[in-house]
Amino acid sequence: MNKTHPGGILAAYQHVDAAAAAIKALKAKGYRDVTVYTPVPNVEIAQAVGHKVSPVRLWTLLGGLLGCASGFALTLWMSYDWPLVVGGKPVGSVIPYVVIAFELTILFGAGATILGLLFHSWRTRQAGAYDGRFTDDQIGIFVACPVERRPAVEELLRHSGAVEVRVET
Amino acid sequence: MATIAEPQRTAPQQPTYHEITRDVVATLGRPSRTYFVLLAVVLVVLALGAFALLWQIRWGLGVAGYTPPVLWGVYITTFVFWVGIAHSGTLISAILYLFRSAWRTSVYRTAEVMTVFAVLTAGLFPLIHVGRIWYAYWLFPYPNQRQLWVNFKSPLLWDVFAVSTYLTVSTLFLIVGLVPDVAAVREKATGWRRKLYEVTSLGWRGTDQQWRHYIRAYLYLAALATPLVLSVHSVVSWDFAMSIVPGWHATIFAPYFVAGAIYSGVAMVVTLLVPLRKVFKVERYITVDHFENLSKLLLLTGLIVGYAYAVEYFIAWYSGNPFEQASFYNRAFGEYWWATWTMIICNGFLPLLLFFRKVRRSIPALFVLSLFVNLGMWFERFVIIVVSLSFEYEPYAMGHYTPTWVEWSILAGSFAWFFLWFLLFAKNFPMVSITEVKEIIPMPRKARPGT
Amino acid sequence: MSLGIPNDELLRRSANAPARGMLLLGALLAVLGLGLFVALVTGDDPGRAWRLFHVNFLFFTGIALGATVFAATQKITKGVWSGPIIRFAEASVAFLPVAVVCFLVLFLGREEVFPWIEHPTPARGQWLTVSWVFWRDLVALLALLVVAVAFVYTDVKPDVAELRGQVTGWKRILYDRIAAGYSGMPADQEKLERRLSRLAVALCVMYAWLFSLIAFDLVMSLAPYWISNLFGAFFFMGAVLTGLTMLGLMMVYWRRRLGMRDVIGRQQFHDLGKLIFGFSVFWAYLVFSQLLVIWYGNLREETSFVFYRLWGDWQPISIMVGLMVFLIPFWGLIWVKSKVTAFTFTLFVLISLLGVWLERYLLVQPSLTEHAPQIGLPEIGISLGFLGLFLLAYGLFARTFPMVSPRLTAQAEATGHH
Repeated sequence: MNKTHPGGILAAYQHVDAAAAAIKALKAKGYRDVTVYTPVPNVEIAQAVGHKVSPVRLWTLLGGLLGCASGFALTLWMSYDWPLVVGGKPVGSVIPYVVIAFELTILFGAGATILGLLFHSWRTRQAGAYDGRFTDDQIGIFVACPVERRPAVEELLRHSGAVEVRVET
Repeated sequence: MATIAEPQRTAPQQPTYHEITRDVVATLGRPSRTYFVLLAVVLVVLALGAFALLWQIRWGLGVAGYTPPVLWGVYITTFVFWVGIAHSGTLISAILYLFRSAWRTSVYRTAEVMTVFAVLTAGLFPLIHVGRIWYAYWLFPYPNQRQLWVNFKSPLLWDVFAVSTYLTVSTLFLIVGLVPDVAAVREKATGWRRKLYEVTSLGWRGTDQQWRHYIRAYLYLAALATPLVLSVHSVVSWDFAMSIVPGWHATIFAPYFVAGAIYSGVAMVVTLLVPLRKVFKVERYITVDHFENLSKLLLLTGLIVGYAYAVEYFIAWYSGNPFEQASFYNRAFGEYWWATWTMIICNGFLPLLLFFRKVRRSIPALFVLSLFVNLGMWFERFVIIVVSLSFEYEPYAMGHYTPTWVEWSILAGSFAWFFLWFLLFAKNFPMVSITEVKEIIPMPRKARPGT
Repeated sequence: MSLGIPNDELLRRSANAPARGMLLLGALLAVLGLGLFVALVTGDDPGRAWRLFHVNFLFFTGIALGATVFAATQKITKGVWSGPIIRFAEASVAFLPVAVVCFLVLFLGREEVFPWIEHPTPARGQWLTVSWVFWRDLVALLALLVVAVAFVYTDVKPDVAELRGQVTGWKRILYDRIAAGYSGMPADQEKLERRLSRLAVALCVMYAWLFSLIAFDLVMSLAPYWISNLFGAFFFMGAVLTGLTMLGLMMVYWRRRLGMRDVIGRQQFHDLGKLIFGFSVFWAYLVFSQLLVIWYGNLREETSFVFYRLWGDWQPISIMVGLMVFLIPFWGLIWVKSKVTAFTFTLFVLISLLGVWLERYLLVQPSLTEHAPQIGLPEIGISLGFLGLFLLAYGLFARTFPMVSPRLTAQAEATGHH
């Protein structure tokens, strides 16, 4: 929060298609440092920004596999570490250990997903000006740019149907 | 079936995004006097439950009504009941999410909150049940002086893993769903509330990068929660099915318990939503259509439960095993016949009323029905646990179990514990998802939607 | 979004699906397979032929019912995405009359199939007698046939009315007949939809109950003392899985034959792939639920059935079943890419379908014979014969009725589900 904001232009939009068009126009002009705020996830915006699929899925998969492996490892190792025959079953019984392995698959998978979410959100964090309206009903676009290019960006955003454009320093 | 007015056709225009934020934020306003009265009642009942628990800790499990061979009684029954209640929340929030059901958006938060607090309540009961509550941590595998590990072949231990995984994952899922909502509320809040939301929204701003990772993570969490919800009540059912007690040793137990769990949970969602939508004035978002969908879920799971009852009785007879046959005869016509018939009528027959559209669309009727289903499902667990144990193989070892005031007080206390959390949560965090309700309404566009 | 091919063209093809190839292949396989069956039954090991007959009767009846029930669930849950492909599932209803005939044929071979005829199981009393079992299961099958046919008929009716202009000759007469009382007015439509959803609910409920009965009577009873009260549900869920996988294969086939590449798109592959994936996992869950309880309880009358199949001669088959129905489709269909690519989709779906056939074989065969598994000409030939019968029935449906529903396709289009 204490990070110093880069200066730039902040625009608010009412309409999703206008915002998407503005993003495309900015990208065509070569502006890379664009942050878009939306109250809900939106396919049109995501396409305009042009993201690849989030790598979080890899975390889920690896977490799940790790959980499954540790479930079997934990149960089998603990069984043989102090072998006791209980209820006439083999010391290490794979059939019931499936239950533990399954639960740990889910637990680790979910945990890893959260970690992945936090990690990638942190890595791709965008610092910029912000307005409370963007979690309510408006779409925000923040373009970080040096002072000399601001008039051009301001012009572009204003013409693309922004309801408000302001310069943030 | 008579045609009655279709609310979705006469419903007012779709709310705008701004109205949604406004209406949901309004639910977090200053609580009314009724709220405090309810809170006071809940605290009194909770105090009673706590007193009974302390009494039991002081004097030992003897103060409960256990009579050998019935050493699993109301506590285990209530444990299963609360774990079961939790299940529908995950069904609505995760499984219906995967099926892209639009109607779930306005009810899922309540269901999910119910899930977390129901598991939180259920988790108390194994501790209460073991008696020496201060040794409860023995349930977990940790390196210890005795150099012993826990017995992974015991279904009770599977329960430890299943229930703790369930509590963790459903809490995470709830929090992840809450973050964008809290951010929306943050912008409207003042004072200490604003501080609270600033911290709990974890810096959410709804940037394109945040959403990009968020929607994926949410999808995978839902995909993980779906098999989890099947497994948890299956594991609970295996606490019983693993032993060879007549009436317990049945392969159908796992899916049967899962269906029963969702059934009781949906009933509880209805029980909670009916007053909630009135008090919070969110009738615009939680409409009769939502109740109709919930009642269809209720009907579906009720039919599965009815099927399982019938198959259980049929196979008990078909098996030709005299113990199995006697156990089921005892359920219906033995000392506990009233419990069995409560369960059969409430769970097997009453939901058949939901075949009528009029019942499905009548909120008072559904509310009453949901109470009966809750009652019936508690008794189902009572019948399975207590009645089976009281009537095993050998007549000299049969016993009759009657719960004492201690069990009843702790049971009442568990409801108070659940409602305490629910009430506190409901006034501090949005009970209707702001983000997801918005999501099903397309964002405003300048141009008409293209072809 | 528009259709890639002109709408009229699709309508014409839909009402005149090219089914000749399917019919010819079906007839050929049916004649060869059934010829082989007759030869074997009159030969020196009729038991082997009859057992295979039983396995295939169960398997293909399961496919036909499972697919129709899936269509019914789509009506109940208002799943619009399946609109363009739903008829490929419903067409399998044409096999049900054949299934009833097969059941009657099975009566001739009852002594070879049902061990309790020769050695009655005292514990089951009067429940397992020839007349009582055959009568009640015949009634059950007929009841399912009637409701399933009524359901599909009701769903086909508006399409027949709409496509009347596309057909000529005997089909025109038939179409006019069917559409006679149907005007297509909104009131009529609404009435029809209501009827359809009631039939769908009735079909699903009856299927669960009656197919469980059939599972208990025709499969569980083969092992005289074995009981598992989940078995009915396990059996009918497996049948739904085969219905879905059959639908998957038919979807790939008809998509090419009817030139529907634009109507049946990524969405259908993805959703059907997810469903098959989900059902595979559910199948494994139901297997595990039974295995765990039986293994843990360790009671002889329950374990003998399972252990006989898990260890010894039948172990390879058991492992194959586990791989083909669960593990291979699980790792195959977990990826989005493999679900939406026609080749991999077909591959894994086919493996699953064959896996469930093997599972049915594994449920029936070891109960009836002490032989190790035999896979030879009789097994393959009789199974292909049944496949022929299935394709014949399916092809007849395809030749007669519209294979794509214009109204359901339009619904799916309207919500962008393709």
